[in-house]
Amino acid sequence: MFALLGGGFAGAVAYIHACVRLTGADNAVIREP
Amino acid sequence: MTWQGWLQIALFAALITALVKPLGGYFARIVEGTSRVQRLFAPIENGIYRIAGVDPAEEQSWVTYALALLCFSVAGIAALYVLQRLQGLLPYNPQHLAAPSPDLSFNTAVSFVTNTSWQSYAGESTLGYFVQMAGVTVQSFLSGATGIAVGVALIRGFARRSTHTIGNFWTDITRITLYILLPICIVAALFLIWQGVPQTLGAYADAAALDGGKQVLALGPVASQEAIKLLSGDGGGFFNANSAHPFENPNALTGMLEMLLIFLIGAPLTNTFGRMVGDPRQGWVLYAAMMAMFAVGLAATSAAETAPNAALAPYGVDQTHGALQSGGNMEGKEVRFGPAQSALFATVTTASSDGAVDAMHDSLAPLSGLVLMSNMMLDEVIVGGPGSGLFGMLLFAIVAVFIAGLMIGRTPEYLGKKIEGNEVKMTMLALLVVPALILGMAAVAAVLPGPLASLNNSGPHGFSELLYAYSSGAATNGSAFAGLNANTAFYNLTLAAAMFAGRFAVIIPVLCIAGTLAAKRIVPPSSGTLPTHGLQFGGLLVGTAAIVGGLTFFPALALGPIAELFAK
Repeated sequence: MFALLGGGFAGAVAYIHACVRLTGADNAVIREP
Repeated sequence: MTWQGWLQIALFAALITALVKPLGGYFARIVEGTSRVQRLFAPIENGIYRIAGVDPAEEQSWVTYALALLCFSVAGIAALYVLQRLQGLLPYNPQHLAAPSPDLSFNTAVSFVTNTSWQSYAGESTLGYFVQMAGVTVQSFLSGATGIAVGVALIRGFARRSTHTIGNFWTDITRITLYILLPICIVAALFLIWQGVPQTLGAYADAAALDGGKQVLALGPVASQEAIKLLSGDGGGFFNANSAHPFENPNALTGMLEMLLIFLIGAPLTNTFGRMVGDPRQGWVLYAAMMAMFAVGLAATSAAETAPNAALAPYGVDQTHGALQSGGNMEGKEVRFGPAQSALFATVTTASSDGAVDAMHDSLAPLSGLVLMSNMMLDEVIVGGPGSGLFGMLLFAIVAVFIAGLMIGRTPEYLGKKIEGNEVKMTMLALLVVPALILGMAAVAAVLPGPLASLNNSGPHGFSELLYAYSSGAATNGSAFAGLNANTAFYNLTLAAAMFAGRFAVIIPVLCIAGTLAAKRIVPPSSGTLPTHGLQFGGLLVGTAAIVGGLTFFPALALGPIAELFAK
């Protein structure tokens, strides 16, 4: 079951990267003053 | 329908509408960090940040926000899975219930963390008090807070300009849990205890039955779980009969409270949206669109359930309303609630993503089954789950302005933000995930002999049982049509996959839209801008949702509830 969960997590991370590639939206982290 | 039935609907609609503005304002102040309540409890909030190592001033991009949400949810699934598997070793298990099987534990863990609460088990004979409290109830809070956080992040995408950030996930879920979910749940739980809902860590009680036998009465810390079960859009019952059990829902008054709790966050969030984007009318349009669709569904279920059951007519059964009975289709319904409240409850629970039930949905008339499935297939945009209903409706709003833009030959705008290729791509991705899961998985289950053997009925009704299960899982509703033995390895694992993908494969594109919108400038409205605060846009929005949903699911529905409706 942990392998399934790990697979789901990896798939979701890959999905995030696919969305980034599709849109070009970056990953900047900004600290508010 | 009786006058009591009409009064019940009117009271429900009036109360929830009256709460939209005050609660919407409160939610906005909480997520923006400007509430006086927050200043009062700042030491507690800051203490949580210190322990967790969170810097509340740090803002996150959509990718960081999504990764934080994903890691938090996956850790929650692992924790709930381990708790169940170790149940035999844990305290507060007076009935000495054994650990559920691995596939059932996995299904349950995914179910509660994704805010679905699909249950392939009976609570009173499967889970001990520790797992119910530290596992299920905790995840009900956290999954509800996660949904609201995503809705708020999307609102920030519309409200902010020229920035790469959409908030801080850790700050959002802390504030939502501390200042929105906990206070309401404490009050609701105390009210339920007053009305007779148990709250105890003692063992099940033995009662003498009228026939001289002994009956075991299941008890437990029910009230505290009941409140968040309804408020968070979770819906997983402490007992197998859910809100039809007298210890979860003792009377018509608690029935009304439970329905209000189900809508209590989703409906006011439309007002939060309007306030945060600087035009409360925008929120009222969304609320009106939600209520218009809700009214159509409720009219159909109320008419179908308060009419006599046609199958009983040949036997001369008296089904008319009188001093001794509610009348109408009473099969599968609690006599305490009757057909009118059962129809209202069933519509509320599927229009939202809650999934609590106070009647047997398998026994509803075909037209009611059609409405309930349609509500879920629209991805529960009619109020929906906390946060998820709002972002679901905003996805349809993006499609609506896109279609309007195509018709008038102008780049679509919504709330001053240009809707371009990136937003439309992500919107389509989010809107296509749920139909693909429902139709694909139901199709696979419908042709395999093993899964088909789990059905209690054949023909259109059997197909409805199957279609309902995957609709409920992928749309993260969690209610069961019943009539389907879902506690098999096939259903436990495929429904877990449907719930996981139905939750995160929608949330991720939504956060991406929030990120791309936040980076845009706000364009001032001009004479060519489509007004989105009036009746015209509300109609366009309802039409878009109905047409998209209708075109996608009509063939599948024709094989199930529609075929049953027209069968002789």
